[in-house]
Amino acid sequence: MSIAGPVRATLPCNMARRIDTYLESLIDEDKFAFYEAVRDFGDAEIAPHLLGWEREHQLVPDSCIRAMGDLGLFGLPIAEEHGGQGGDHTDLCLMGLALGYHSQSVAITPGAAISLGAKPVQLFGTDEQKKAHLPALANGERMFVFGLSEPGRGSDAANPQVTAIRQGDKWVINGEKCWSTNARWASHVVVHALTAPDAPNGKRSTCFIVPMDAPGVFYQEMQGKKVWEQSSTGSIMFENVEVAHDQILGAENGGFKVMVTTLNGGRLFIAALALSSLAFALDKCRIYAEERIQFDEKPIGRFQRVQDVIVDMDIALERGLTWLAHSCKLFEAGKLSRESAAKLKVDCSRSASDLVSLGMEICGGVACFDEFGLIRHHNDLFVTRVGEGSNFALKDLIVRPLRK
Amino acid sequence: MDIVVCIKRVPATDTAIKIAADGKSIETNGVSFEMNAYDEFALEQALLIKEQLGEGTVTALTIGPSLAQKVMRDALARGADKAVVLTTDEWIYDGAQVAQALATYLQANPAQIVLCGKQAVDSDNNQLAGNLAARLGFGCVTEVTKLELADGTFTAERDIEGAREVVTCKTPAVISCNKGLNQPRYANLKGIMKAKKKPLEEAAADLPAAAMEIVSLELPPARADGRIIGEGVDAVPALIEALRNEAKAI
Ligand SMILES: Cc1cc2nc3c(=O)[nH]c(=O)nc-3n(C[C@H](O)[C@H](O)[C@H](O)COP(=O)(O)OP(=O)(O)OC[C@H]3O[C@@H](n4cnc5c(N)ncnc54)[C@H](O)[C@@H]3O)c2cc1C
Repeated sequence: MSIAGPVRATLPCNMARRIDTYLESLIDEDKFAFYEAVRDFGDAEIAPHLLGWEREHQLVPDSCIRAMGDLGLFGLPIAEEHGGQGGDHTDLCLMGLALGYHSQSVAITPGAAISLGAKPVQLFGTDEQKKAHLPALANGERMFVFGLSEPGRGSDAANPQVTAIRQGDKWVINGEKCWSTNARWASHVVVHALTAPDAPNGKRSTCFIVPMDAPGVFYQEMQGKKVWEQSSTGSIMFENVEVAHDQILGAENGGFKVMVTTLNGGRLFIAALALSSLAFALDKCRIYAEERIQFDEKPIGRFQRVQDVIVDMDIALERGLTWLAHSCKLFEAGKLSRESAAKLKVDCSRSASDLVSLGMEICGGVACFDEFGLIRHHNDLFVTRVGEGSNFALKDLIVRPLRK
Repeated sequence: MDIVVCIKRVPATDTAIKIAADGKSIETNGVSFEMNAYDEFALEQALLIKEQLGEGTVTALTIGPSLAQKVMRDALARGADKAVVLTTDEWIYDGAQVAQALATYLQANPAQIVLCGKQAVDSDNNQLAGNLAARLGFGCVTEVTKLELADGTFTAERDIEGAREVVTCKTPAVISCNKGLNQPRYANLKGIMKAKKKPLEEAAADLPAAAMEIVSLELPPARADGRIIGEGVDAVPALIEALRNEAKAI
């Protein structure tokens, strides 16, 4: 709608978003209607402000977070009985595609809040924990962060340096987590801590639900990040933080399982973000290639080498979306293997990154400017290669079934 | 209190319009359609009134092809209780035709409040509210930017040339809504899923013969390139001269 919101650029019919054409045939009508609602929200409430937020080095404003909460985005795949919208993982990824088209930073805010924050509670929480937290998580009043990575432990996440030591019926946590997405707005952090150093790999750790305002918890925003600039990324210190035994999430010494199971779904969301950037770049490049007139007063889109890049983007987008839709269905049915989720993330992030770089090249110098939009997606795509499992490290996982 | 919102399905505002081969209509192939933007304010206001009163129903009503069901589903997803498509395959232009067909429906299915957008952004006719109110014998306030309801009487504000007008109007009434009245809500996932279970009816529109006809349609001429007249204060006389004699703008 253009009267209440800003007018979109007037596009010839065949220049409408390419991603919409694919999604319309991949998902059912209701899901597409939901995608359209979030897309329109993004066009009206995010796109016009994005450049301002970037130039002011601002995180996603509270008003925008509230508006996303009003739209029910923080409760998407949470059951209605827990105050959520009763959706599924496809809906979550559709939100990623719709919001990420403008800004991965904005999309990851509800994205991480759900897929990394609420998800472990949904998957592993006791009934009391679900009742205590899911309704407030669903309406955006509370936000959980995923405390896996540490300054000294990234890919080797099974062996945290953060420790939790039992003292009677409580535990005492010490150490530091970092890279915690949404830390700025978090009410709680799920801390993955070493609890049984001598147990076999993968069975040494436990997850705890810790309020951000508990004595001994200190948060600081990580400064100087040039990717996902509107997303909050924090480091969180724990100094003798006391946690009751019933705040364990999942089994004692079963913490790594909580984390890796959660990451499976998260990787699909990261793949959706990579595809959303590719979708934006494809539209931007193909429109620009028709509008940029050079040599004999004709558009550069007539050069076959320019067309090659655009065609490759289009192929990668259709392939990725088809694969993503399929993977979401398997994930919902509990049939998506860890290798498959990893493969999708590796492939989408890698191909989108390569193609967006080439896309910038066919647009030339104008692609350097923030207002053109491509540089933002180019930078943000880096996170999709490294976040939620670095692509190189994930290949260790992918190769397993291929070896004796 | 039963509230009816009249909604039109219009071409999306971001599509470049092409004239069809007959020279009198637009090419609809490949064009995506959406709810008329001003009707979104009307729908939102209907939902707010229902929420304020804590009772009543909101019915979304349209005249158009069966394809308009998609726009009606959107209205249901945002919170309307029921939707009705009065079907026709004709591309109707005559505001009196639309008003009569809606009036026929509303006489058979009475409502105390009828809300609509101030105009449809495709034909920009600006006719419906007055025309419909006259046929129903209802009060009418157009282009409202603020609306309050107490004891069956509306207090409405309208922006008029250089001033703001405040009027009251008893129900039953037809009110046309302008930008600024409210902030329309978006459909959420739960609403979209619920919309599937709400009634969406179709009936043939009872259209009288048209009194008006489109004779021809033309796209506006392409805008000519701009021209730099000069720089600084020295260029002002030449600019005024060009605006006065060439562009005839002053
Ligand atoms: C913006 C952003 C947000 C993030 N949000 C969160 C969050 O909310 N919660 C959270 O817990 N974490 C978060 N992370 C952390 C992220 O998951 C880690 O960055 C990632 O797991 C990689 O860890 P690392 O950066 O320490 O790299 P390292 O583990 O030090 O790896 C460096 C590089 O070494 C290579 N490498 C490492 N291991 C292997 C291997 N086994 N085989 C082959 N090559 C290997 C890879 O090239 C890898 O990129 C976030 C990261 C970023 C950038």
